[in-house]
Amino acid sequence: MNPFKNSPSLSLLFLLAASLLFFTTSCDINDSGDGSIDAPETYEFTRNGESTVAYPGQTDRLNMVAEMKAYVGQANQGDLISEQDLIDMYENTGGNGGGNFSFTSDRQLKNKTFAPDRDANLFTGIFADAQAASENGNTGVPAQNGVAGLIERENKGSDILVDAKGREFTQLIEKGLMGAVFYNQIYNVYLTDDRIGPAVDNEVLEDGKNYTAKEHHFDEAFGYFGAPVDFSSPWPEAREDDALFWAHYADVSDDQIPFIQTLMDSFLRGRTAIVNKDQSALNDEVDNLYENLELLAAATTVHYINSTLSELSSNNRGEAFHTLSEAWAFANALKYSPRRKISLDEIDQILNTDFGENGNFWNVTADGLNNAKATLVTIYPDLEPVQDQL
Amino acid sequence: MNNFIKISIIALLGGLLAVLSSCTNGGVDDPGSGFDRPAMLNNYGNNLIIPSYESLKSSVDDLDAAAGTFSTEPTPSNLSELQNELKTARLAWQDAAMYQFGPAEMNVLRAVLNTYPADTDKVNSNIESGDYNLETLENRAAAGFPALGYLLHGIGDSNEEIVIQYTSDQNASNRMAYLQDNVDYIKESTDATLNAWLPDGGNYIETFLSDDNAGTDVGSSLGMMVNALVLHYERFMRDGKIGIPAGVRSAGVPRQEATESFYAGYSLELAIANLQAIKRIYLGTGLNTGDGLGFEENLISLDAAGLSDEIVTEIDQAIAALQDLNDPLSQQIENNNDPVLTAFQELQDVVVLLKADMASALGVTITFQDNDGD
Repeated sequence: MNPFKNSPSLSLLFLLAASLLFFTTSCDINDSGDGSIDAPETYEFTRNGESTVAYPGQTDRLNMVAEMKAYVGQANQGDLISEQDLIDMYENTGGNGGGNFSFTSDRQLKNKTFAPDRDANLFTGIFADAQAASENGNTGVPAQNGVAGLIERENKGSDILVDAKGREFTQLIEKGLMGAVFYNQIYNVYLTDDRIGPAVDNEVLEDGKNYTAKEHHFDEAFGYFGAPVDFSSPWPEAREDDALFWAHYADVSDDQIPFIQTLMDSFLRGRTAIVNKDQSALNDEVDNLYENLELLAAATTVHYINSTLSELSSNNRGEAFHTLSEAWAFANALKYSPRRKISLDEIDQILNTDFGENGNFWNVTADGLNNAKATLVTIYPDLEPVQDQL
Repeated sequence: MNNFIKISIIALLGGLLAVLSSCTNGGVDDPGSGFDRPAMLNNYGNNLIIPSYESLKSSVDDLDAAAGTFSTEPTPSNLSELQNELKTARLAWQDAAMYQFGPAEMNVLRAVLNTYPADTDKVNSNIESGDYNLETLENRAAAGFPALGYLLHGIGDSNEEIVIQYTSDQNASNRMAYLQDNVDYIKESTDATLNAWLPDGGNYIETFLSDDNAGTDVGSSLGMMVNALVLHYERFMRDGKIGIPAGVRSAGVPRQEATESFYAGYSLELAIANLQAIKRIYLGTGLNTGDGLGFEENLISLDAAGLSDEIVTEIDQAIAALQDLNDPLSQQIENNNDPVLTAFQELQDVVVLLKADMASALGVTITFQDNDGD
C-alpha cells in the first residue's frame, strides 16, 4: 500500500495546493474586455452585480416529487395510501397538494407531464393501483405473480409495495415523474428553439426581473437537472444529498462515465453563450446536453440491470424487483427525448419483453436482462467499455 | 516570493501524491510487498476457477446422459444411477459456487442451479399444467438441483415407488418432460458460464487477468473475487447451509426442510465439501494441481502471517465441527440441534477474519452489502 496515502499533513497540503490552483483559475474567468465572458466554474451569472439566475418553479416541482415519493413510501410499511391524496399532490390542489405538501406553490406537476402520458392517464392510473395495492399491504397480502402486495427487500430487511407485475410503486412514481416531467420539460420545452432559439428575446429584461427570456428558459432546464450550482467531479460524499434526481444519478455513474463534468460544462458554457449572444456556441452545448442526458438514462438503466443480475444471483427477489423497477423507469425515460437514438420499438422490447414477458417482472430471465443490456450497449457505444462496471 | 516557493512545494507534493496514489489504484505491484498478484490471479483463474467449472460441466453432462437413459428406460436401477449422478454434480457445484461474478453473474448461475428449499407446490403445478418457463424468476425455486432432488428422491418411499411416478401416474409423461427440461436448463447455464470463461469462448479469463483489473479497487479481479467469496461464505455457506435450517434466522425455530439436500439427505456432505473448497481457495490449492499462490501467500507477504494462521485454524475448526454432525442434517437438527448451533458459531468465527481482517489487509473494499440508499 502507499505509505503516504493516509498521512494527514500531506493530504492537507495537497488540498491546499488544489484549492489554491482552483482559486487562481477562478480569478480570471469573468470579463474579457469586450463585454463577453468566459464560462464560470459554478452556475452563477450576474448583471449589474445582481444574480440573473432563477428557477424557483423547478425547485418547487423537485420538492413536490420528493414529497410524493415520501408519501408513497408510507405504503412500504403497510400503511394505506390514497389515490385522491396522490392526485391532489400531482395537481397541487389548493396550492399545497390538498394539504399533503409541507410548502405552498402555485405550480403543479400534472400540466408539465409528457402529453401522451397525460392522455393515457399514466400516473393517475398508477395512483389508483397504488391505493388498491396498499390495501393488500395493509392486510398483509404478500406480493405474488398477478397480485400486488408487500415483498421484503432482503438486504434492507424492510418491505416494498409492488404492483401485480412486481413493479415498485415508489419507483414508478418518483422515477416515472423524473422522466415524464423533468426530462420532458428539459427536452421538449426548455432546450428547444421555441425557448432558446434565435428568435427568442435575449435583450429585454422580463418585467421586474434581472434576466432575459432566453436566459431564464435555459436556467429552467438547469433547474430540472437537480444539480447544486457548484456541482463538480468528484462530488464529495458529505454533499451527496445536495445532488438531486438526475444530478444524483450523474454522480452515481461518474466513476465510469464523467457525467458530472460533461453535463455541467455544457450547462455552464451554454448559459455563457446566451450571455455572449453566441447562438452557434449555444447550439453546440444544447446538442451535448441532449446526447449526454440521454446517455445518462441509458447508463443508469445498465447500472440497474447489473444490480438486478447480481440480486437474482443471490436469490434476492425483493431486491431484484426494486432494482428492476429502477431499470424499468430509467429505460422508460429514454422515450422522452425528441432526438433519442433508441427507437420506441426497442424501448418497448426492453420494458415489455426483456424485463419479463408482458412487462411482468415475475417472468424476468437472465437472458432477457442480458439482451436488454446488449441492446443498450449497441445503441450507446459509450457504454461498451464500462458495461460491466456501471 | 516566499509564498511562491511554498505554493510550489505544496503543488509538487500534491502532484507527487497524485502520481503515487494512482500507482496503487490501477497498478499491478504492491510497492514494498514484492508479492506477485498477477501470478496469484493466474493460479485462481487457470487452476481453480476454470477447472471447477470444467468438472461441474463434466458431471452435469453425465447427469444429462443418465436422465436420458432413465427417460428411455425408467427402471429403479436407472433411477439409482441418475441419483448418483445428481449427487456427483451437486458435489462438483460446491467447488464452483464461490465465483459468482462475471460469467456466473451474467447467467445467475447460483440461483439457477441451487435455489433451495425447492418450491414443491410450484414444481407440481408446473408438471400438472405442462405450461412453464423454467428460466423465469417465478420458477427459480422450481428448478435446479434442489428441485431435481425432490423429483428423484422426494416423491415416493422407495425407488420402485418413485419410478411409478414416471411410468403409470397420470402425470407421468409430464413429470418426465419436466425432469428433462430441468436438467437441460442446468446444463445450458453451466455450459454458458464455462464457455464465457474459456479462451476460445467468451475469454473472460483474459479480462480476469488483464492489467486493467490487476489492482485492488472495486471492480478489480481481486476485489470481485474477495467480495464473491465473502458473500458466499456469509450468506450461502454459514447461513444457507447451516444457520437458516438450524433456526438462527427464525427466532430459534428450526427449518429442517430448508436444508440444501432435504430429500436426498446429504446436506452435510455438501456443506463440508463446500467449506473444504473455500479453504482451498484461501490456500490457492488448484482443483487438480498442487498448492499455488493464494490469499494465504498474499497475507504473509503483507506481514500478516498471524492472521493467515488464524484463518486456517478457524476454518479447520469449523470443518471439524461440521464433521461432528451426522447426515441427514435435517434429522440432526430435529433430534439434536445444539451441535449444529455450535458449528454455526464456528463458521461465524471465520466471517470477521475474512470480511474485515483479510479484506482490509488485501486492500479490498467489501461492497456487497451496499445498496443504493433508496
